[in-house]
Amino acid sequence: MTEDLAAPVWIDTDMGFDDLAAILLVLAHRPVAGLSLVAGNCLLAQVGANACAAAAVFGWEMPILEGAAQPLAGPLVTADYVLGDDGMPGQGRKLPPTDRRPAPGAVAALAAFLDAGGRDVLALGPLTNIAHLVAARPDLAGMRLVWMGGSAGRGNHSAAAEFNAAVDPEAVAAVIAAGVRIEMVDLLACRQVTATLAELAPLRAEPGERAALLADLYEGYLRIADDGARPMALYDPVAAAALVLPGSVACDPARLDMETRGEHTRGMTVVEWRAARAAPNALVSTRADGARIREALMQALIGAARG
Amino acid sequence: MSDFLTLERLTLGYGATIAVDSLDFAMKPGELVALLGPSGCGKTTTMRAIAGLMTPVSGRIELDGRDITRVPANRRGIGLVFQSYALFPHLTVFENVAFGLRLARVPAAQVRTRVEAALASVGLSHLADRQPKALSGGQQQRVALARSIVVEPKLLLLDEPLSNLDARLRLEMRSELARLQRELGIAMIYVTHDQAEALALADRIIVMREGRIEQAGTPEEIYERPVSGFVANFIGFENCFALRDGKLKGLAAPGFDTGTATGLAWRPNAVRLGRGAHRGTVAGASYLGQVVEYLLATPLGDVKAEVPAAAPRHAIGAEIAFDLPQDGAVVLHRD
Repeated sequence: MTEDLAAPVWIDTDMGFDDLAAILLVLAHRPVAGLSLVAGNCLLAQVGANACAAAAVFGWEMPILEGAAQPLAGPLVTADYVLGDDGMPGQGRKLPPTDRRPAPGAVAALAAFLDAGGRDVLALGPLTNIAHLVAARPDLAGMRLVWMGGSAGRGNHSAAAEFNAAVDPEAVAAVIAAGVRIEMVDLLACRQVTATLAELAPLRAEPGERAALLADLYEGYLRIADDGARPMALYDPVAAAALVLPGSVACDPARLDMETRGEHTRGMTVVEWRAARAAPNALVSTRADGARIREALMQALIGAARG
Repeated sequence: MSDFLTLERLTLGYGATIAVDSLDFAMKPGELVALLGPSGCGKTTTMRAIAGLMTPVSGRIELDGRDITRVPANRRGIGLVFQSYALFPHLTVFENVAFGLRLARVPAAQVRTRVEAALASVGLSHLADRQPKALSGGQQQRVALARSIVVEPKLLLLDEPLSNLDARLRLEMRSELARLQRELGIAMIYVTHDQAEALALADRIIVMREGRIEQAGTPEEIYERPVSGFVANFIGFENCFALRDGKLKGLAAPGFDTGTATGLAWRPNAVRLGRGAHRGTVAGASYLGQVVEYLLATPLGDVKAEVPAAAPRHAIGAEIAFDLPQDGAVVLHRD
């Protein structure tokens, strides 16, 4: 498949710090046509506040639109137990609040992007908005969807389930059933891309308020792993890299199914690698180039800090 | 009537894996065709190619006189319905149905007329102002159906649309779909692994197996005259046996001319119990209300026989005569 390395990307996000980092990594390489927001890392109102605050700091001009506040079925579970209420942990600077609020109509705007010939969608949270999209407009299921979510092995939210998959398993199932060929950048690949506090140095060395803000937010994020004693996986930027840095994430075709019922395994992404057993319907990550992605992210953050 | 949809030597694959192999198929306007087969037979893949969600390896798809093989999915005028309907929770039923029309910037007056007509055709006019959470699962599925017909697709593809519903609702929605199809006259392809659904709904059934058409025909043809052991099994012939040199394994010759057949099949109710040339041992008996179903251990293998519940019962372990009569036998010409 030919890749258009200048084509605009649509980003669907639940706007924690790693989402912000992923968006900045994309923006360093490609235009972003719009942000659709989904509840996940935090409640939708907080997701909206984070996105609008980030837009103000970094001068983003793309539309920011509010999507689903709840998963397709069942109540929302957020990651506040890891990320705190605002999805961006840390003791330092915070995104300065703004009065702006996102406009409604995320799914309609995403549909319009695809109708107008847009193709690349990067999903960084639960797939609720994407499920609504393909239910209402199944003829748009031919999009290229790169998703940070799921796991071809162990889980993090539960023993079997990765967080974004676990928040809305029905949405993942619906997106698969609609025929979207998900490129799943999974938990295991994301954990091959880690960073430590020591790696903040170049950002800390940058002058200016934006650099200091990004460094503090990044540090808050890295301290999730035993207060910075262990390397922290970068998650969303790895999916962004899969889209904008060809070759940085290797994927193999696989059959992807979603466990929505299991007593212990609800939210588990079941990956069958053996094509002879089940026709592949997805691309699932096998490897990620940690050094390359970590470095590209640092360059993107420095670029964003300089403006 | 000329063909409305034709697939010509359509080959579909994922990488090196061929999922559908040189498929030829045509359907008439207003026809309801069921694609029936087990998981992995290629039915969903075929549907996706018709919808434009996967690019064929080779072959051609024509819809209503136009080659659509390379036309993007959102320019094909094809509607899709899945088991998951994912209605917008914050929008009314009316606005959920209107979503696609508003995106296409259809004028408001026309949106109202078309949405009202679509809701009327699925019997939900009275719920137009409700939010989805106030609706039952069956009603939500109807909203999804209204949403897919309001854009006036040329062809409607339904992929296991009822598999999330409970048994009673499935029956209700099945008749609803049949009625809707008659009233709107819209061509539909119904993808299912449920033979009862296919038999009840379809004008024509295409049974698929490993990426090819195994048998195509009316529900009656498929049900009464399956051509292979595969179709017979799938359609409820629970006694399917291979013929070797004109004989059933371990039994006398069937007692009638089987020509070049490779196998014979009987439904459980065609097996005669209590008399006949063959003998077996009763290994199980299940009372099913109208009938008792016996499982016989025989030299041929397990044989299932169904007899009216009023007939004398046979004890487990009893040795019993049975017959596999020509009347009720289906002759199979391949596995």
